[in-house]
Order: sequence, then C-alpha cells, then structure tokens
Amino acid sequence: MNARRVAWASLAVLAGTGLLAPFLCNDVPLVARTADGLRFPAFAALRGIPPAPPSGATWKEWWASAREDEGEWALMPPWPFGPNEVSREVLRGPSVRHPLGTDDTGRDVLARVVHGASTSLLVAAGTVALAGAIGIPLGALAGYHAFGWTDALVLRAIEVFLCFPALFLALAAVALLGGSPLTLVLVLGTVYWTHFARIVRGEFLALREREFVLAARNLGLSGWRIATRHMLPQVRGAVLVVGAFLAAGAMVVESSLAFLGLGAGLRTPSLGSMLAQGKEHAHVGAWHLWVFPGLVLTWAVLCLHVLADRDGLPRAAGRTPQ
Amino acid sequence: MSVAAFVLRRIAWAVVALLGISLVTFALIEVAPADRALLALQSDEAASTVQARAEALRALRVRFGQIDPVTGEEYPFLARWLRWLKHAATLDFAAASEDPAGFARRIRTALPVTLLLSFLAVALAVAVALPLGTWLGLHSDARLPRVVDHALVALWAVPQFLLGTLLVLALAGGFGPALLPSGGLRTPGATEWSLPAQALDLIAHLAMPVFTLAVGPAVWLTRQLRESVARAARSDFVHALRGLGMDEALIRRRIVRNALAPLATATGTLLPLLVSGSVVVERIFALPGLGDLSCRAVLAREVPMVMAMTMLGSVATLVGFVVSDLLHRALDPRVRLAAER
Repeated sequence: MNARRVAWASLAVLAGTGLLAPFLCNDVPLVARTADGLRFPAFAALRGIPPAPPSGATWKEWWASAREDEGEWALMPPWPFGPNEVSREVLRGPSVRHPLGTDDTGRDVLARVVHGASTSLLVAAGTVALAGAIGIPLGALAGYHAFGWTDALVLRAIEVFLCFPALFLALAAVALLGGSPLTLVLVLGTVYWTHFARIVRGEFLALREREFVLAARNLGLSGWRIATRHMLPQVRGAVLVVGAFLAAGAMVVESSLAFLGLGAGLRTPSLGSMLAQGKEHAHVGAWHLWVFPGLVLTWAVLCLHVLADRDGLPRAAGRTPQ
Repeated sequence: MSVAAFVLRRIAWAVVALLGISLVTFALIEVAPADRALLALQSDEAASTVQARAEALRALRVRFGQIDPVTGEEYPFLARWLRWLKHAATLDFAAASEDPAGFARRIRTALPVTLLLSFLAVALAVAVALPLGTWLGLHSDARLPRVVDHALVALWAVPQFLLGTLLVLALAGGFGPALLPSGGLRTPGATEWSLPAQALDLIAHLAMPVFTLAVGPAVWLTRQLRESVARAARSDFVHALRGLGMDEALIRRRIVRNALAPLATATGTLLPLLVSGSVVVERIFALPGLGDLSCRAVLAREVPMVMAMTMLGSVATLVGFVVSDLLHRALDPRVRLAAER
C-alpha cells in the first residue's frame, strides 16, 4: 500500500468517527423508551445540553433503575462514556474499562480524544471550505481574465491579505470572542483564501493557452461554461494539495490555541487542551494523558501533509500558512 | 529604477493592508464582551465605595478615550479608530494606554528576546538545511536519503507545542533528571555571576526553545533545497558537462550554486513564520518576548498594546515578503519583478 492510500484511509476513519462522535461516544442513550414515550437524548444533545432524564441525575442512573416490565429500555452508544462525564476514577492509567485511561476529573480519555479530533477536523474542514469558497472563484476569475483589471484587483487583494498575521488574529479573536470553532473558521478562512486564489490563478494562466480551451472557445461556448466545466476540473489536483496543507495548518492553529488555554470553552474537548492537561500531570506518571491525543494529532497532520506532498514538496508551501 | 518602483508600490499596498488589519483588530476588540475599563478597575484598590468606583470607572473611560470627558457620552466606533489612527500615524502607539510610561519599555525589553530567539532559530535551520538538503538532493534515488526524507516529513507533522512539551518532559525533569531549565531566560540572580557563566546559563535556557522553533523551518528549507538540487541535477547543462568529461566534484559545485537562489528566497518568507511561531514557544518556555507580551495584552484587553503588536507582526510579514522577492531577483537575473513587466 502506498502512503497516499494509508493517508486517505486514516483521514476517512478519523472523519467518520469525528462526524459520528456524539453517537459513538456519549453518556446519554441514542434512543430511550421512558414512561412519556420514545426520547432521543443523544440527538437532542446536538443542540446543546442534553434533555434531563425522567428520574435520577443522569440518564445512566435512570437506566440503572429503569423498570423493564413497564416497557422502559434504552439503547446506549457503542462507547457509553461522554467527553464531559466526570467520575471518581481520577488519573487512572489504561484499563479494560477505560482503554486510554481517565483524566484529572475522571473523564474517559478515549471519549475525549474522539470528540477532540472531531473538533479539530471540524475547524479544518470549515476553514478549507470557507477559504476555497472565497479563493477558488477569485483565483479562477483572475486567471481567466489574466492581466486585466479583475486580475489586478484580485492580485492586490492577495497582497493585502498576505500581510494578515493569521495566528495572531486567531489568537485575538479566540481570546476576545471566546473560542467557538466558528470564530476560528471565520478568521482562518478569511486569511487562508489567498493560498487557493494564487494556485488556481497560476493553473488557469497555463490552461488558458491549451488547445482544448481554444477549441471550446471556437465552438462558441460561454466563458462561464469554459471556466467551470472545462478548466476547473483540471485544477482538482492543485486544489487538493492546497486544501490538505491548509487543513493541517488549521488543525495545528486550533490545537495550539487550545493548548495555550485560549481555545474552545471548557465543555468543548480539544486535543490541544488535553495535551496541556497531560503536561501538567506528567510528573505523576499520567503519560496516557498526552501520548494518545498527541499521537492522534500528529498522525492526522502527517496524513494531510502526505496528501499535500505532490512531487516531494507541497506546492502551496511557497508561503507557508500559520 | 524599476526596483524602486516595485518597492514603492509594495509599500503603498502595505499601507492599505495595515489600515485593513488595524480596522479588523479594532472591530474584534469592539465586539468582545469584556470591558477594558472594568478589567483595569479590578486592579484599583482605592475604589472601594460605589461612588468611588463609578468615579474611577469614568476617569478610566475618559483616559482610554472611550467616552467624551464633558458630556460622558460614548464615542462611536469609527471615531475611536480614527483617533487611534491619528496617533499611530505619528508612531505614538502608547496614547490612551493603561501605562503610557512603561509602554515603550515593555516593548524594548521584549523585542531583543524574540529577535534573539528568531535569529538563532533561522541560523540553526539554515545551518542544518544547507548540508542536509544538498546531500538529499544529490542522492535523491539512494535508499538512506529517502529514509531520512520520510523521517523529516514525519518530524514536520509534530506540532510545535507538542514538540516543546516533549522536550520539557524529556530534558527538564518530567521523566528523569533535569538536564536543562524548563523555562525563563536566565536563572534568578545570574546577573552576579561571571560572564562565561552567564553566557552558559543563557545558552542552557535558550537551547530547547531555539530547537523547537527551528525544527519546522529547518525541515521546510531542507526539502526546498532537496527539490531544487534534484531539479538542477537533472537539467541539460549537467548532462552536457558530464558528456564533456568534467570532474564530478566540479559538476556538483555548479549544481549547488544553481539551486541556492530558491533557498535565499525561502529564508525571507520565514520571518513572519518565526514571529507567529514565537507566541507558542515563548508561552511554553516562559520567555518574556513579544509573543508572550501580545498574549498578555490580548487577555487584559489592552487595546493599544494589542494594536501595536498586530502592526508589528504585519510589518514583519510584509518586510519578509519584499526582502524575499528582492533577494530572488538579485540572485536570479532571469526573474523579473511585477513592476518591471
């Protein structure tokens, strides 16, 4: 198997578990049959705090005392621990019950790693989507009308945005507005789009002179159709390289800010804040607190770099993000 | 002439960029829920009664330029930004600051730390990348260089803060004996020591931060150089020289000289990377540099300092780009700047 396949497969697994994290690792049931009828607490929790159980402090307590003879039952997620579910088992190493151990408030590290990776991937995907939505059309427009006034305008905009200090702006935004993933996506997306625009413009510049574009033009196709149907599909490779590279950058920025204690709030698990916690408790031998989040983060970044590694070097790396 | 035109045009657009960045940063602080005057009031013990608190708060707001001193009405957002701009145009960033007297002093003490850190990191990165990148590029088909190249890619994927943490754990007493100090710039009381002892102390404190900061740029530069050396080694003139029977060592020298121009360009673009990278490294190793200063300023909602730091970072980015463009042109006569077309 070659490295790109492994990278694609790992990222697919990560994205899959990340997307399904609330249904894979959670301390509330997916479906619960209570006296009031069917409830879907894990789905309801997506909109914020999960709904309170009919009796007891938590859904788990309710389930422990559920009366099956009255038709009460629940379907728990496959890994029945939530990322914010505290317990009295504090700072335990890996065991059968908690394969990756527990942290300093007794939360399950496996559940936190899965949810933390989900946060990182969400920020990465959102940033790339926003940057692409701004950068690809602008780059295509500039490249198609190369050396015209639209091109000049886009180039000037790129020059202006290149000066934006991405990490510092993200830091300020997160510290001032609170570190919701949305804030980060907005800041990083509006700074990173230049990478897409520059690469797409360059590719369009070369494609313009190719025979198939001339042929399309001579057939009388509209500029819009030539650009979107004939030229845009040709830049897929370059867009993938830039996208993977920017995704890695966004993941690192997200976890760095969380590591510095500036990231997402306390309830949002993040690989960065887990690592900060691990550093704090490393002297008591709680190695599992930093090893597992560190491995997942490094592996994800490595996979993205492998995808961005066309011809040995990320082409987007002309000017590295961060 | 045309080079001057290029630089002038870049500066003109840089002014537009700086205006935009300052407006964005100002707006960010504006929509933030926390109030700077209230935060500053918390450290003011004299204001104990409700009356005194209200008075002190009003005085603070007037000093920060948030409200009109006569009517007590709040200035609109744009008016405050324009006022900041007026002061900034005369390089007076300390206006309406919490501590105008200490403003310049804080930057003056922090700047050398970051400059030293960045300079050492770039020097280390270039020192490693030059021989390593050349070697990897000249033998790009051999087994060992390829293994080394893969190892470099893996090393690059380790985020900076993770690498720093691992170093602290491994070398500063996390797992075993503390070989190096875990943070700070100097040992307390070191100013009394002899000069060589002070120098050793400084080196011991800077070893881990410089290494952490240098790894990313070193890997990046190495791989850039590897690519350009490999490309130069495949070019026609090399085949021609080899066909003419030139000595391999002499051919190698010609290859390397051809491959060096992109490296110089790449080094220029590292400047902003190091400025932003120093935030993370300085926080991990508790170094009192610019990154640490801006982090504190953001947390304390210290608007003038945040703005000054943002401007400084943007200017560093801009200078890095212009320098790398000019370097590229100076080293490769085939390259033309945009203004020369």
